[in-house]
Amino acid sequence: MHRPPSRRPLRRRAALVAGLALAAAAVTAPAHAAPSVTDVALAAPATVEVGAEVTVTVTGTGALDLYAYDLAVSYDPDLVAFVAGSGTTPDGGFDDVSDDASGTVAVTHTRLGTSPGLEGDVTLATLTFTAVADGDAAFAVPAATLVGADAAQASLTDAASAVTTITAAATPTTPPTDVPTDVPTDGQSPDDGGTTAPGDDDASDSSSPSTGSGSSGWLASTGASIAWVVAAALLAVAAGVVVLLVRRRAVTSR
Amino acid sequence: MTTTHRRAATGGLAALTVGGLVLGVTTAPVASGAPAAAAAPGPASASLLAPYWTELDLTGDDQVTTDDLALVSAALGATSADAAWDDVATADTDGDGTITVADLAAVSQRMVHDDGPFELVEASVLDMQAAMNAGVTTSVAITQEYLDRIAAYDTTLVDTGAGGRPLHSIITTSDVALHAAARADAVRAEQGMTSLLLGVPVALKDNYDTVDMATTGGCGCWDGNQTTTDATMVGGLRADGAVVLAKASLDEFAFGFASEFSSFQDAGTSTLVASPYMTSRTAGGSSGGTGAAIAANLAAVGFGTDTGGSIRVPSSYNQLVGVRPTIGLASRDGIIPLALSQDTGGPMARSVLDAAVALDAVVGVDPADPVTSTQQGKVPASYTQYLDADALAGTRIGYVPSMIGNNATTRRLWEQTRATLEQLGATVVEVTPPTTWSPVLPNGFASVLSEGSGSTNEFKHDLDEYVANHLSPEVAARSLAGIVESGRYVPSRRSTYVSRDAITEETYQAWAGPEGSHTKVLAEGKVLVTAMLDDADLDALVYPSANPYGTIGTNLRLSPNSGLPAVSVPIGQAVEADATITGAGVNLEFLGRDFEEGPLLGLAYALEQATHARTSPVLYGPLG
Repeated sequence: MHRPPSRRPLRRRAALVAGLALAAAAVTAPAHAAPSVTDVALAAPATVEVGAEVTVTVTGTGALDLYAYDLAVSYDPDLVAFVAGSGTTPDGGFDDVSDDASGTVAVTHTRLGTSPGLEGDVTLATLTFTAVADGDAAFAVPAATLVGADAAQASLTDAASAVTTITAAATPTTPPTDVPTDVPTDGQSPDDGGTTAPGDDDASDSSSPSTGSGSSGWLASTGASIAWVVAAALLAVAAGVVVLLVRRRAVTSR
Repeated sequence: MTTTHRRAATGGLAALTVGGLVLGVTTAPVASGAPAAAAAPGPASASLLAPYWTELDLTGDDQVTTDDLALVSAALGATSADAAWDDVATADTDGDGTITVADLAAVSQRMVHDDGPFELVEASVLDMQAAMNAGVTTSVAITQEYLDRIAAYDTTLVDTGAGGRPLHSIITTSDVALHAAARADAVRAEQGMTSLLLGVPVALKDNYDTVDMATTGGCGCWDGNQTTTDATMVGGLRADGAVVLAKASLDEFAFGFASEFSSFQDAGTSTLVASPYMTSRTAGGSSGGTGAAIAANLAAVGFGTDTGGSIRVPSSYNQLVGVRPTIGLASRDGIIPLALSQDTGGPMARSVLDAAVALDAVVGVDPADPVTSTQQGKVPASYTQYLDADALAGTRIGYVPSMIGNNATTRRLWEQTRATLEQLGATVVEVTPPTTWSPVLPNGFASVLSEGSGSTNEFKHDLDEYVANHLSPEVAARSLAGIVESGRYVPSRRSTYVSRDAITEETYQAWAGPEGSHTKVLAEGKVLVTAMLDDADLDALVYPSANPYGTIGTNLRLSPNSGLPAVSVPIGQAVEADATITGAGVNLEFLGRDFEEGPLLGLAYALEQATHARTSPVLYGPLG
């Protein structure tokens, strides 16, 4: 059953979504019944460090009769990797989130049976990526198709975008300073002197966009720590690859 | 035939990747985290075989589930140029040659699932299942709401207008219905929707034996008749997970069309059942309590019995779908008889779908009612498979002009319905019935219609059999004579009971014995009416079941006197210009060949879907 994974279908699908969007723009949608959202927004953290998670949410405001939708979230595969299985859509429906590992996550969601369409402000998708390299990582929703309970459709193009600046975490930008005043309490540092009470330094949380100076100071203070961070970053990349491989295996054995 | 296709599709999908074509690379699709209470497991075989609900199935289980959605989503982007297209072409609902999210949505809409607000009033069995599958409500909640409605409405004077009366449609409510409902909810949590009746509360005419409620037949003389067994039909309902909610009132011993009963009342008193549309009017009979209760949304589905019109009259007066099945389709064992030559039990419901689902639960061969052996090989997997909105297309529907009658409302609704039938693709054919036939039916069709009810000569005989086999030993009145002696019956019935008690075995045999006159008329009646259908190449014969709160000639006798099945369906209401009884309902009856309940339900469904003629009684809306 094992066979090389093919990305072709996903590209095809992305192209299809875009094609539909163009086609729909030329077709007058039924005026009275088309599903709609007044606005689509994409939210992503302003900055994260390499190795951190990047949580991207796509929200629709003022949704009307939104029974199903299909949207593409584009990302920079050189800078971030999608965390397999991390995609979520509104509760109580069926969804399918698929990543082509080369820059597009396709999100499909539908309500079930004779259920009404979604109304109001809706989180259409929540996706988690891992930052793998520094740079400005652009996220966007190049295309979306909305389907109403009455099968009417509407399409959106270039619906939303955002940029997350990924910083090369742990790269010292200032000369080493004196004895650290703020030591992480996670026990992973070999020279954790226990000078700080546990739990009082949330800034060390890897998912935080904060780049507080205390952390830099600590990182800068020991070469060992720097090596650990670099190793962690490499590990994160490797983990991403492993996840992808695992996912592909899962797919091809389906 | 379609099943074969579906199985092929399933096999094909396993091979979707053959030829280097991968229709979709996906992570495992899942139904996303519904609330814990909501996520019922994938439905078991639920027997909703109406084409609308099965035609988009891809996995070969005759229903759309998240498994089907997973296949469609995996194929998103596939086009008709792909080698594996045939395997998913069914899902291309908009026929654009590409599987898109619109197709996914269209397939999803065929799931029995609805997380929107649930309103019990006028809810169909399907509405209830969809809401229960989505976790929006439960059988316990539905059962409690019906019990609350019965408590609030049934004996309350809701209609404060002139002549207004309480419905008095229920004799007994079950003390254990909520337990049954909880069991049904547990089954759904573990196994999904095992049946379309799972957790659905039903009301039974109080002549069906039930182990959890006394079966009085509407007579105070039998208040203590707590049987130790269920009627066979009731067993079928329970086996399908239905909740037996209540026993409905009836005309005492199912005699007449008034629905007057004496159960649990003092000697010398009785009560009439009212129609929820006009409580000054009778609900009809003899299954009047079932008719009033189902019309007023006091239960999901009801059952009545029909010997000479007792399902169809209250169905017509209360804007319900009523099914009088072929003799032999559903066992009468454990039902208090009136005349076994013509007795039938059948559903009364607010929609054709509900009636079909209810009928599915009660068919079957029962050695205790030997005539049921005639159904062998003639019963479909589910009557729902006939429920196609296009079922009238290409059919031939016959009518006999003399059966339309002269009532202004009935005539107007017939003309309107005739046009609708034609719009839906049926050819409406005027039929001239035979005026001679045989020594048994000297006047042909007229002889069939003029044959009397079996109840006169059969009631005593058949009642004695019920007494011997089913009546609780606690009951003192163990014969017609004993009933008269008890003094506990509808007072005006005395002379009738006395005269029927005087029927001798010789009279019975000459009437209903193997060579009895009635036996012969019924047998030849079936042949004659079937020949009418065959000669004119008809799918069904139609005629009004009743006028506004009144019967029409001998129309009701055609089905019992031929033994052929009939489905009665609402076609509209009287309007002021008719100058009849404004607002009163009229039903049209479809009569067909032996064991053709399925095709008849299909014809009735097509008409119902085009007209949606039933209205809900405004006096009995949602509880505040």
